[in-house]
Amino acid sequence: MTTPKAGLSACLLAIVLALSACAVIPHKKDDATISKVAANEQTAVEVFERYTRVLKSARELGDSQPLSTVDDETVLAIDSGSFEVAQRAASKNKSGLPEGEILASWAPRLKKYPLWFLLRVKDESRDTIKMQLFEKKSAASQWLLASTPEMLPTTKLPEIASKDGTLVPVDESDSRGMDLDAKQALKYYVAALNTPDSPSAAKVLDDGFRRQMRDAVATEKALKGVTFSQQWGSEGIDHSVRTSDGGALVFSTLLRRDTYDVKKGLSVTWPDGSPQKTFLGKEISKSGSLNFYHQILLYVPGSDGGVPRVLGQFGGVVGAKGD
Amino acid sequence: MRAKAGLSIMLAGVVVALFGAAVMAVLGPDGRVISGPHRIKTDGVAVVTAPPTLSWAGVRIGVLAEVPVNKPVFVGLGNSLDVQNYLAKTARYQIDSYHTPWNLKAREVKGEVENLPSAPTALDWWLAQGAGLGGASISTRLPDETVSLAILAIGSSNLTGLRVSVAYEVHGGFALGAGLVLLGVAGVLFGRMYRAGRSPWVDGHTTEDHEPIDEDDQYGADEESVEYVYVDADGTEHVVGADELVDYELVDADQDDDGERR
Repeated sequence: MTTPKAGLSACLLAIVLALSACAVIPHKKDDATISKVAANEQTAVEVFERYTRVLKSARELGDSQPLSTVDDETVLAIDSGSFEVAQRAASKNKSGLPEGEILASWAPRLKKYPLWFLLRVKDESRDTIKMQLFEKKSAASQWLLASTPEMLPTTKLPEIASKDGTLVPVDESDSRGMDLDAKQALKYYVAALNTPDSPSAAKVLDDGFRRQMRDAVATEKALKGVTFSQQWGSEGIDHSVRTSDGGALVFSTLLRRDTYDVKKGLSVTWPDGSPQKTFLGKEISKSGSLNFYHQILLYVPGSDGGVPRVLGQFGGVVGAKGD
Repeated sequence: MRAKAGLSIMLAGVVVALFGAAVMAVLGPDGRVISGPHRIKTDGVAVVTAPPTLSWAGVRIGVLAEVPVNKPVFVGLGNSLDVQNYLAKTARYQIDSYHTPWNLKAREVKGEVENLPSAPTALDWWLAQGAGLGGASISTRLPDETVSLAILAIGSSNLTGLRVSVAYEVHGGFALGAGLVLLGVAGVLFGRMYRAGRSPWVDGHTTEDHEPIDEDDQYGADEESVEYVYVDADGTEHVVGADELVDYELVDADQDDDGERR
């Protein structure tokens, strides 16, 4: 049989519990590690929208100048080159106005700057899928687009691994789960571009990018009275992330130099609107060289998943020298 | 044994109640403790806490920074990764440890430059920020991530004459104190009842195994006086005491329909 005493006890207990629930109990932090998730989803969207606004404005103006506020050095060089080509050809940038849609975003938890995050974006104007990597070099700087390799909509992107909701960066010399580490894979890929029949070339896939470059070389070599050569190098690995199969997606920038040596007494001209004409002038009679940047997305599969291959690229002329 | 346990419970209740009362007295109805203003002697542009300094989470802090002659000043709380990177090259006054109410271990850290790399108000990573002329303040709850507090001069100004006040607020702390007082009181009551061998849930004594005593046994146990009613042949009722029963030659009421127990 319950009594007023029991009721009083129950009331006291209820009040204590209710009052305790109102309080946020201060506690000593378990972990003093300094780290942060590079960007939350809202930040990623804001950065992308700002980038799209500026790119749209630049394309409407036909001027790459505004892009210096949203593009990192390499992307800016490529964009400036394409704007210059378009300007010399007296046409607006043919890429059309940007209409991007974020399909997915990933960010790592980092312990130091630079911070970076990754977006998979559908570009309606170019009918491509872009893997855009935005980077913030210091706490006082802006988010800039650091890499933007493009893929065909049909290209299958490996699933990106995540841990505690954040993507997992992979050190360039970390070969765990892979037959090759990212650094080695990149080295073999560059060797394959320089010498397609080298032993290194067999260690990477003869993918669409390699075939495209080989075809371009064949075309240029067909020029009569001109000795053409192409050299490749790499600026190293920007970032790489773990994929669910234990492999890695590697963001890197390749350098390409196309050199033309013209036989004495001859001169070479290129069609209007071509990068060669834009950067080397009307004609060259001795020699000329064009420098390109190619931002690539290199996939290094997990063990037994095949050989490394390039899934996407974004590149263009960034400089020239000729006489 | 029961008496000792009951006493222990009562003592624990008293301790809890006193602690709760102390919490209420220290925090007050608004749940805040205020310390300051305190002078910080620096001519630089930045005062910052080192990462381990703010080692608590869940407590709400208020910081008011005041500088003379209406100089512009900024107060911000940010992830230590951001704050450290932002001030990496700037000469600064760094607080390495802090204990309430105002016990600092601090030092001047030489930097490559005397000024800030960019205006603090233009940065998007502050978790809480405030700026103003002559004074600025923030009020925010310390998060679980590692954070640093920064007081910064804006523009070409400096922090000479800086005075800082700090307030701590435990959200619901006063209520928590009140809850502890009530819990303590409940403990004392329970201890007292337990000591007396009474259950807090029923009104009566308990046996050793805490089962209620049978009602009849209760009557039997009481030393109450028993009276009997005797109805004579004329139908008249007579009340007689137990000691008078022998005069009337009556038997116990339970065995005799002519008598009833009252």
